[in-house]
Parts: sequence; C-alpha cells; structure tokens
Amino acid sequence: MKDHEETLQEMSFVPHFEEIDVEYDPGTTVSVTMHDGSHLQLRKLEEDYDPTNRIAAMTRLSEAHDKGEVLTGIFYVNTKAPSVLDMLNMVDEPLATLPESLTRPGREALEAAMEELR
Amino acid sequence: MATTPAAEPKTNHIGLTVIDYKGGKTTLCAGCGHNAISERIIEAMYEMGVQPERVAKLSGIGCSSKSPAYFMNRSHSFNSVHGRMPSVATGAMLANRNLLALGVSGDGDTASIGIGQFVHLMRRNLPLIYIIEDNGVYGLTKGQFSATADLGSKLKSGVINDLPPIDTCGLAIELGATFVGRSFSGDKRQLSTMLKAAIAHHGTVMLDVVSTIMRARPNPTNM
Repeated sequence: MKDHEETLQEMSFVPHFEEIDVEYDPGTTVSVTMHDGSHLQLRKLEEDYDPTNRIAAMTRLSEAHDKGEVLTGIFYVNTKAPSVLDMLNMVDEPLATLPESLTRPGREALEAAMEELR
Repeated sequence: MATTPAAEPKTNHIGLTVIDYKGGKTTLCAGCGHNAISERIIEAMYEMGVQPERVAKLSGIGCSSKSPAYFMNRSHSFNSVHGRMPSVATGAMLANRNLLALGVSGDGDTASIGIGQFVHLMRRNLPLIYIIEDNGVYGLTKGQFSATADLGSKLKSGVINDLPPIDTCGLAIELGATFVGRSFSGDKRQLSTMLKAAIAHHGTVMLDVVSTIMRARPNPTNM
C-alpha cells in the first residue's frame, strides 16, 4: 500500500494578502507580481484596435500567446448577429404570465393535428 | 446645539445607492482576485442603473461560482451543478427574456467539466454575460491545474503541467460569441469599463478575467 501512496492534497495555511491593483495604458505592457512571487505579463490592446475584425482578433490572441503575454481588452464585437431568442421568436412577456388561451392550443388544434397525421 | 444634517447618499439614475447592489460578506481568501471582480460588478451595475431585481445571477461550482452570493443580494440567483450553468441560463432566458443574465463561472467549471455546455452556449448567442474568473487552478480542492493553466507551469508540490492551455477567448470567437474580451482582476478601470459595455450588449458576452489566487497561480515564470 505504502508503495502507492501519493499526496493528493497539501494542508497549508493561507496567509492574508492585499489585493493586487494595476493600471497601465492601452498599447503598453505591465509585469504583475502575483502573491506567490510569479509574474504575469499583461498587454493592453491599443485604443485604435478594431474589434469588429474576427480574423484579426484570432491572430492577435495567437501572437500574444506565442510571446508569453496575456492580451487584455475587448477582442471582438458583433452587434448584428441575431440572438437565439430572436431566432426562436420568443415573446416579450415572461412565459409564466401568458394566459392559458395562448399556451394551450385547445381541442380543435389537437383534432386538426390528429387529422393531419391520419 | 445645532446639528449638521447628514449628507444625502449618492444615487444612480434610478434612485438607488451602491448599497442596493451589495451582497453578503465574502468568505473567499483575503486578497483573492474574485472579490475584486465582485466589486467591479457592483460598480458597473450601479453606474449603469440596472434594476437589481431584473438581474439573474447564475453560476456553477467552485470559488468563482460562490461569488454571486457576495454581490447584488436583491437579484435572482441560481447556484447550479458543476459546469451546467449554461443550461440553466438558457432555460431562464427562454422563460423570461427581460432578465439580464449574469453567469459567473471558473476555469475548471468552464474549460473542463463544463466545456460541452460552454461550446454550445457560445454558438447560440444567448443574451448573457458569461464571466470566467480564471486563476488556472481548482482553488476549492487545493490547487490542481485547470485546463487554462499554462504549459510548463509548476505547482508548489513540484508537479509540472505538460498540457497546453485552452484559450477560452479564442474558442468563444471561433464558436460565434458576439462580445469577447479579457481583463485582469486588479485592473479596476479596464474591467469596470468592459463590464459596462457588456451590460449594454445584446448577445453572448464572454469575459475571461485573469484572477489572482492566494495559493500558487500556475505560471511558466513560476518555474
């Protein structure tokens, strides 16, 4: 048994730390020292970055990854795509408030459907 | 003796104070980046004048998914099953499209057990703000690597991550999310601005927020 004994968890004390705050300008990088002494290299997108270009967004993310940088900012925005709620023609009212006349088709509708399937 | 009348508390354009957007006292570690993210959510919702009762907070499991308890206690809240928040969010939004859905997940909750649900959520463009509080580890279970941990990261125990990370932003863009961004929990100005833009967007917003953790955050420079 002891030959297969492996540590799964380490019981340890979590000390109190202050929150880490950063402030850096668009188009620049900042190295952040984390609580454990490790570092993150953050790069903020430039102010004139165009977030509507999907391919460019993917490229920028890949380039940052290759450089070991964490790219920050809004990479991509598309305001024209329909939402799933629009595609499903969902009504504006909450479903729970709809009257029975709108949520229950009624006997005639059932009979018409059954007739169609005969 | 004359007393000076107390100053009227500052209110937003719907007449609420920032207190109206607060939640319970956090039980996360002091200095955890997740607490900073909660503060930014409170700030953004207050400044945008969002009615708290219009907001549905949804989450999965993990340190991140506990955090909706620490902001906006007047809002609806559903702490769902591990990695299954997208299904619950979809149901909630289908039942009432007037809600403002705010999903809070973690890197483990999203990029491992919840990756299937995440993928389908992104391609549907459901109106939802999906925040990943991303610290690269499973914090609640003592810090094992998550699927967003960097290749070559080293834990305090000496274990090295030999798997490449999943870039949730790249994945979200590829799949059709209509608002994708990344910030750092300690960048107050950027995160606050991004959250306000997210509230104004109609469609799926995916924000990956790199967060600090009190235990070692897996990072190549940690080696």
